[in-house]
Amino acid sequence: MTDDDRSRTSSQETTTALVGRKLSWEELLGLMRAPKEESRFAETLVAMQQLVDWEEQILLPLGENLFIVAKDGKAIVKTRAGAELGPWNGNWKMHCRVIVRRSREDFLEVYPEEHLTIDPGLVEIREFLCPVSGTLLDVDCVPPTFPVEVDFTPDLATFYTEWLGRDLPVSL
Amino acid sequence: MATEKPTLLEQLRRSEQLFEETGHYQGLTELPRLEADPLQFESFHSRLLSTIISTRETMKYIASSPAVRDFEEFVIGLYTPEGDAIALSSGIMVHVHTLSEFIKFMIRNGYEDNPRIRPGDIFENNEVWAGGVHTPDVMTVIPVFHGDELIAWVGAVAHELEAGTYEGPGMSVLTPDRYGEGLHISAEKVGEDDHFRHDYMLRLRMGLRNANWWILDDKAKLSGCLMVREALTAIIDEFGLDYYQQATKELIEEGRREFLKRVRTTMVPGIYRGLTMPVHKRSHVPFVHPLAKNDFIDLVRQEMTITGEGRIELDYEGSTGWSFHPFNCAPGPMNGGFWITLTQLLNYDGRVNDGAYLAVKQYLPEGSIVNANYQGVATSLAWWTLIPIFANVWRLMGISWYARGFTEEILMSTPTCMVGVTGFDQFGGPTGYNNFEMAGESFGARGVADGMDCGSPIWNSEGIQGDAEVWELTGPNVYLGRSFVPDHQGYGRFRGGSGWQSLWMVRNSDVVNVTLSGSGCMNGGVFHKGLFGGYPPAGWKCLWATGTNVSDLIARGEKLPSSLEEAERMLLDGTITAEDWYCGPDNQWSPNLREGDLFGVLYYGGAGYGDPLERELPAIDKDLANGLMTTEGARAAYGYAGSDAETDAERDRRRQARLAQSVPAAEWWEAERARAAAGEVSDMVHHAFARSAKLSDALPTQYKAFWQLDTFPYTETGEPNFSAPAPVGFTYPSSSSRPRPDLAS
Repeated sequence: MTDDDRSRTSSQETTTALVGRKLSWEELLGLMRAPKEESRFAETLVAMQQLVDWEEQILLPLGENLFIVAKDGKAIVKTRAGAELGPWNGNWKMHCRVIVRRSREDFLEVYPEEHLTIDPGLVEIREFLCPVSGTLLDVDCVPPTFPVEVDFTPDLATFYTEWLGRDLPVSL
Repeated sequence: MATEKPTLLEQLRRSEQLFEETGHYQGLTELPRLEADPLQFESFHSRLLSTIISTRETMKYIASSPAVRDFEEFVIGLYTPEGDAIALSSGIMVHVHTLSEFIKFMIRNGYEDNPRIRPGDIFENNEVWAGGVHTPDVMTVIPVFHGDELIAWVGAVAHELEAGTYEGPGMSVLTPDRYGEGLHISAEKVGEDDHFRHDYMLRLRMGLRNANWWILDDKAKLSGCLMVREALTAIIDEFGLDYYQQATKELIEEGRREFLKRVRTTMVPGIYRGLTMPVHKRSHVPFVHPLAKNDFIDLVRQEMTITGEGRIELDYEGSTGWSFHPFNCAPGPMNGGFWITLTQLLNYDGRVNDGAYLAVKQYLPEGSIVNANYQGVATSLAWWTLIPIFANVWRLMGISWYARGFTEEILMSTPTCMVGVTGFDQFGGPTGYNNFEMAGESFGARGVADGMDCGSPIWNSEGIQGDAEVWELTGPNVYLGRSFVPDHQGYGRFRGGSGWQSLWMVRNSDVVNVTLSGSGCMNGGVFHKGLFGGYPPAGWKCLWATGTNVSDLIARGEKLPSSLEEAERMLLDGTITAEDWYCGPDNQWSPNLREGDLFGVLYYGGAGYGDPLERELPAIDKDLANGLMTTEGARAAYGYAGSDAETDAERDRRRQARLAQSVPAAEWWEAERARAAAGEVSDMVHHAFARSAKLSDALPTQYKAFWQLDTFPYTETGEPNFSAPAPVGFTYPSSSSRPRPDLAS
């Protein structure tokens, strides 16, 4: 094993520990202060792939418990528990289960009475759930009837081919 | 024959032309000074930076106001002749670029001819049309000459606690327009021969309640500028003028390149979407101006694009319009808000200079809340719009870092909550100030840890709460308590920083009143959503009570309230009696208070990150031990049941309950569509949507597409159909909408 190999192994271990939230505060401070390594993304994918039970290749993490993955030559959105939420650039929230809170009573299921001052006439809380596990994927706070939109649509082609210099293993 | 030197205006136009033509600052495709001797280049930059930072420390001991002396509300920087930032100190970095806009304003508006720019001149500004943010942020700028050539500008900004506003504190909550937001210094020459003019000093004495704060802060800023000017002479003697002039340009171009590189190294290109909706309820206020007597939501649609090149572009198409209130923004405030984002999140270890500004772009639709174009517009509390906007940008950047694997970089901010006090103080004089303990507000959650419970605000990386005793000296009030609020946090795998609260009693004054507010979270609003399943906190509130029996309680040696919520309980159960009182999110303007009366505010906590049911037990135990959560609160928010096994079982039950309670989103859409078609929402929401549609078809287009409707049901704006003229007679910072493809084609 060369020095370079050892260095990569060490870096992968650190990233795996970061993904698993196993680093100490001192180690995290070290990461914050250190130059940002270009290898981090590939290491993150390796670490995340180890955490899921399914086989599809992770292309991009979209959030805790949410990924863009390659399946049958296409890119789709998939949850950690395995629910598939449509195409990579679609409105994955519309494939979730949802709880919409729109009254004070609804809000009180989340917040303590003495602190709650959010006006349900102005703000609606929409909780988007993984339909398999019931894990919360996102919580929106919007005026009632505001369209559901996703926070992020990546430019996957530019990211893979121009920024990473890698082939994108799917057709978009 | 000697060549005539180009004017500053010619230099500025040439610089802009070179950037337009080449994409490089000053057309620098190469960086010869850096490449020839990187160590000398680094040494040069360090000399500039250390000069500025050490000067800032000295300035503190000259200043008078607690804002500068105790709470770090100032900054100083060095600029090129064209007004581009080269280097600046820590502090309120929002003003790196606002100072730049001020200098460019003077150049573009012919100041070289009149009032002329000469050695020893002092210029000052707090005018939004000249690049400022709001009246309390007062900029002081001096030119630096080498022989008869202007080679640099040095500028400093301090936030004044009092600015001569209608209701007293430095920032007005109530004014409908600029005519109530206090003393405007509109890009004026206020001194010559390194001294402030006597007539300017008299103007401050006559126009302010607490003129000593402003005057001594002015002297601190001027002293700092002169110290930097003197130090520059030594630096130029050592490195040579040619080196100084070339290397400072290279520093900015290098800053631009490093910014793009950092974006491409740590982020992911694409489109990021956000929404903020600050709520303002004012129709119930008996003394508000008729123009401002309105309840409304400022809807701000945000689209952040990270381009293939690594540029960051922010677009606000679809936001509601400016109106008669002090929460409007303009390019100066918006660029300042963007700047605090860039310096704290992306450029913190690089060159903090205008290079980063050249790598970003904001599209600010004219006439919208982010680009008000009425000359009389008020921006006194532009921050109440800016803070949620840019905090949401921080959140969107967090999504990008997560996607790239840099979770340690993810950081969310919090709203700023504020107390303004006015009336007569304990020394018998007029007073007005904002209590800046808000500079120690909590953070939102991070990607690897909870938010700090007492951190710093989005607008000042060095902000601190300060000593309670300083604030007791500043105004006629004593603290009855300052404490964390259990269970008040944005829930999540990593929770937002805890909310905290302060409660004061009026002391040694019989005429004082308060305004209490919070950016984006007051009046029933939500600051912004959390990340990846985290929640925002439960809301904001304030308290005031007038004509109380608290003095009697003291005389009898009885228990006093030590928190806002304890005071509320004692008012409700009659232990404290009052002629009038309020505790809640709406009625944030007190009547006159006197000795023994109460006021208090809740400093809203930060938003959460990740599903709360994934929060680790040791983190919950720590919060329980520190009094930041109650056992009941932990059970409700996190499914906490004591042991690992019991908590796991409870969480499994909760997840199943969620699934049982929820419906498929498509099913919800079917049911909700009829409501969306009819526009069955509250008046305030209806008005907000209609006000957005008045300026742009972006929201109606999105709305009709999502709900599959032919018509947009919101037509009533809830405000007079006014139009107002744009400023004439001077050139001011401007911006516009992003050019869009014709959707009809």
